[in-house]
Amino acid sequence: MGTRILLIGRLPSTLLRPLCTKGTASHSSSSRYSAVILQRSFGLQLEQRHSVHYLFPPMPALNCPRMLCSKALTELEFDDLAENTLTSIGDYLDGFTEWLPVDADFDISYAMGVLTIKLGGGRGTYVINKQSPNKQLWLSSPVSGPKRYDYIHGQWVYGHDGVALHDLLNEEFRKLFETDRIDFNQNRDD
Amino acid sequence: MSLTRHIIKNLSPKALSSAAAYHKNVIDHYENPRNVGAFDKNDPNVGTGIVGAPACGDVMKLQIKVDENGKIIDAKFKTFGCGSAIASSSLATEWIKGKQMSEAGKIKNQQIAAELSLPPVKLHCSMLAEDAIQAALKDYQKKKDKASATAAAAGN
Repeated sequence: MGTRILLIGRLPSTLLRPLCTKGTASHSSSSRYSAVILQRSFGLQLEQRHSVHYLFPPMPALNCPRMLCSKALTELEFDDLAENTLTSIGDYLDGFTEWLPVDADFDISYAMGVLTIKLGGGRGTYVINKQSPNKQLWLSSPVSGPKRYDYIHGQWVYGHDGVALHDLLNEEFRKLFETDRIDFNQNRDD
Repeated sequence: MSLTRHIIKNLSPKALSSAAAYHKNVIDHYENPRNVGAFDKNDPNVGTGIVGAPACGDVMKLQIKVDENGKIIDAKFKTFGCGSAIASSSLATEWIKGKQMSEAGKIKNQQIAAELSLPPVKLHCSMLAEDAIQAALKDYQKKKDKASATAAAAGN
């Protein structure tokens, strides 16, 4: 039961609170609102499976609820999701200066769907960017190189090895800063 | 530091060149690309790998010609994309020529990126070049397996 509640909790908040916006562009919130209204006015039943309610039935081929798989997201939904993920990672990193020994050249910047993390001290630069045509997040790590992440079952996962983005960031940043207290999962907003 | 000195310092050649310039190896491959072209994809000795997508801004087609001993005797490429993508695929064709298929399969994106000194945001181009090599090798292998299966069936 616990995992089922977690699944619902991870659905984008817009599905559960249709009138709530996060200050994103008004066109995207109104399109989500109208999507919910259309569902209701067309009398679509919420499909129930294993005590979890899905607004959109899982696609049989993917066996994954629509809002939790990037391949089934619309462009707008992917854009919002990717932006939320990148800004939450950026915000978490911004906070590093308060409790970790960061280099003088440590710098986080986010613009136009590209998050750039300069570690300073010759340790290299991380770049995480939104790749809209593929509905992926692309990571470039100075430690492990380039990887591409799809949104599957609520996690950004690298197809070749199944490792989640947030887990990889945890592993690499913990080594870089020599502390286990780093946890990218605690600030998630996707 | 006075304002004038600050401006002059930032306009110095060193400052300008250090701001995201292409490495000379990349420029060399861009201006003098090696092995541009195509083979007949229906040739049984040719393996073709196409990776990427136009919407992403990068498409690479890499073709290999393999002899009966499994050695890559020739390679050609055509790439649509940025300078780093063109250089990565050009370098890939240079490296796989003359190698056995198994050796060519061991080429990694880190080696390509190191040779071209690719910046972080362009590491994906080297990954794509590695994928292109793998796709070409796989395609050739598939063709060979199909041909030997047909030959075996015909022989029976």
